[in-house]
Amino acid sequence: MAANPKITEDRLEALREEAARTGKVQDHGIVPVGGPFPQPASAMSYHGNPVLKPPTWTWQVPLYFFVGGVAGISAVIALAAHLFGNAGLLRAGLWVGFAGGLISAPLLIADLGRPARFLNMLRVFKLRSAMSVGAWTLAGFSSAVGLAVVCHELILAGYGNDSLRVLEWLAEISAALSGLILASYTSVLIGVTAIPVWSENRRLVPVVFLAGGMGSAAAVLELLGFLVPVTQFIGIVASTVETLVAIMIELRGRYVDRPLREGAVGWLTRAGAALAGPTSLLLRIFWGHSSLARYVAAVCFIIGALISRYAWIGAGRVSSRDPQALFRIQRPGNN
Amino acid sequence: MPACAKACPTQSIRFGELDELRQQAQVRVKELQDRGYNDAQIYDPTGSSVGGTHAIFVILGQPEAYNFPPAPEVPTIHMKSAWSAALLSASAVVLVVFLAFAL
Repeated sequence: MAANPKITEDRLEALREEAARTGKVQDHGIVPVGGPFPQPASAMSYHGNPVLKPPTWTWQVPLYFFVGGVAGISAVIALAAHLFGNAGLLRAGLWVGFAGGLISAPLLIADLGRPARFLNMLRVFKLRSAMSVGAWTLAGFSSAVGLAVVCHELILAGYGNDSLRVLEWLAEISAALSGLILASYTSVLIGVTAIPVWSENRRLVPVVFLAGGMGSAAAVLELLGFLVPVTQFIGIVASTVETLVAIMIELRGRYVDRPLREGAVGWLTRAGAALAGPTSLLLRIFWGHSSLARYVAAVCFIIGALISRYAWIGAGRVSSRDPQALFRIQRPGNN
Repeated sequence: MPACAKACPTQSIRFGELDELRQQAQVRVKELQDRGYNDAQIYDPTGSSVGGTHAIFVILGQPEAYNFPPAPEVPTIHMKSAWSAALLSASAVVLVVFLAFAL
């Protein structure tokens, strides 16, 4: 520091004299080294400390995101199967949706720490809160799909009458509509936060989550033995979307997307995308006639989509620690 | 009055009516700028969707140097665009699933 003539006791003396003589100091004083004062151009964050708090979600949450997506889209597939007279897929879709709803609720409740808190979540309904919408959607979806399963099984057991059939239709339509919300609200939930990588991808995450839910629902049905053109078609579309999204994230090269490309979470994102995207897609296109290849493609997609959920939540955690990610999106032209 | 504001020997921490504090901050910034601290400014993001913070600061240099978000926004202003994307994607899912059965 002695090399800098400005930062010496002599300089301080000169400034004091100037102050005593004119009552005013025109020049800058000494910038204290190591003091709690900002260094003008070089310090563009507070010692690199994070601005935001990291998300505190436990391992149950990404798993719930995944299961909710599978359950929700299964109900949509069940409704379509009913409309097109596919009895097998209708029954399987309803049961997968029902099972998914049964798994989702404990996962969502477990991450609250104290189960009774879930009742507090159902005490209010707030459209402005994606979490509140989600809690109600899960409750509504589980009831609707449960009712649909009961109606369907009663009809299969020979207790069918017209009112039961109407009730089944109504339950299936409600389950499909709430299922779509169940599979997509989680993306809005993370998109509408201050976490840069989520917030800046708020239009992309719904695509990722819904494609993942759709492909996984078809894959689960395939693993249950439905190696039919319907699941193949859905699987191909979902894997294509996963591939395109992965390419887009890589090519766009935005600073805010760095957690999705770099470090452990970046490789987790890539692994998930590779399994659910190209791996699954190529297996389906080139070996689609082989049942083994389709089972493998289904398993690849499910694992890929599951990894992808964890990767997105992990990316949010990484992103929250980087002050530059936040500053850059608030200073346009810096991206 | 909070103890920190009461005890502060240099009156760097102040407590009071926001309007008065804003006025004091402006006077202080003017004073600093006259003394040659041209990068002195007030951090008080009232113009954004946040509508101001619980405290205002007189700072030297950029807000980033203090880990202040330079242009903070309430995340829920993005609710509409996020739900629109979700709605669009959900419609695409319905289309794909129905196409899968129709083809």
